[in-house]
Amino acid sequence: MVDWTDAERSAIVGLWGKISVDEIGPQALARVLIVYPWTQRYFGSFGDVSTPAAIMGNPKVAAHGKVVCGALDKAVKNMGNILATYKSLSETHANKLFVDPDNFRVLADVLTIVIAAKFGAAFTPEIQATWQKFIKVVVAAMGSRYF
Amino acid sequence: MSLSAKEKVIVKDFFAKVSSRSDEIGAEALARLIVVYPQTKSYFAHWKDLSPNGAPVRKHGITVMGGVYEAVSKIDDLAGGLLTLSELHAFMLRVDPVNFKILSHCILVVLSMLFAEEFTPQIHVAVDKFLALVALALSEKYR
Repeated sequence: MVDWTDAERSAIVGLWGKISVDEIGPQALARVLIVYPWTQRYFGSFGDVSTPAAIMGNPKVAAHGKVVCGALDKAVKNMGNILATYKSLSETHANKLFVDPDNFRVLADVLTIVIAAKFGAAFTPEIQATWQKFIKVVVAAMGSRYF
Repeated sequence: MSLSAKEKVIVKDFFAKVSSRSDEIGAEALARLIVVYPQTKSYFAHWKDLSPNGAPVRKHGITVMGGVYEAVSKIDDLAGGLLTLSELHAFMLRVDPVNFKILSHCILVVLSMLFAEEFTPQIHVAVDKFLALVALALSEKYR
């Protein structure tokens, strides 16, 4: 079980409250596909992902970005039990989608960078530390059902 | 994984563009390193002041960023150009190379934070590759 101080909880809730999944989700997924092109392997049915411009303009990428980042809402609302909250999503990614769990870490890193761009100096080292602790727990939970 | 000619230009141009704030980038990146990854403080246990905004951390961030800029100038031969720095890290400092990845991430976060408009995905991938290659060059003399 992960311990959260009151300060950490309110930092995450506060940060997430200012984030629009519709804005951040597409940006994060597009950036993953551009910065780590091998991740495109999972999106053969998404149409044109051949160039950064194509990726950033691709509506399926944008829509899927919203889905993926939207799922973080579950973690924010269940910080005390992220592991259980993500059990079935982890199983789906492991057994049905066959997603390499390293991709969760990759998405987490990119999300951090996208959030930094949005918040600028307000994304202080302390808030970054709390955010990265939170997202690390989510990444671990997403990988927890891979055997 | 190597930098294409185009990516080298992207990296050189971007770092030239942000060079007036290189001290700030370095100081911020090192502050984040020790706050977000407290285990890295083990390399600075000899400093009296380990606060992220304190003088030793800021000064060292500037030193490290100077190294990054040196790498930019040696972008056509990183392994050769960073040989002395590699020897320093391998034999004297003995920094575990895993920390190069961590610091690279902190640098990317700071670049994104300070230059949100300019730090496009295309520039992000080129800089990420460059920092990974710098890390590799620094690891050259380790064993």
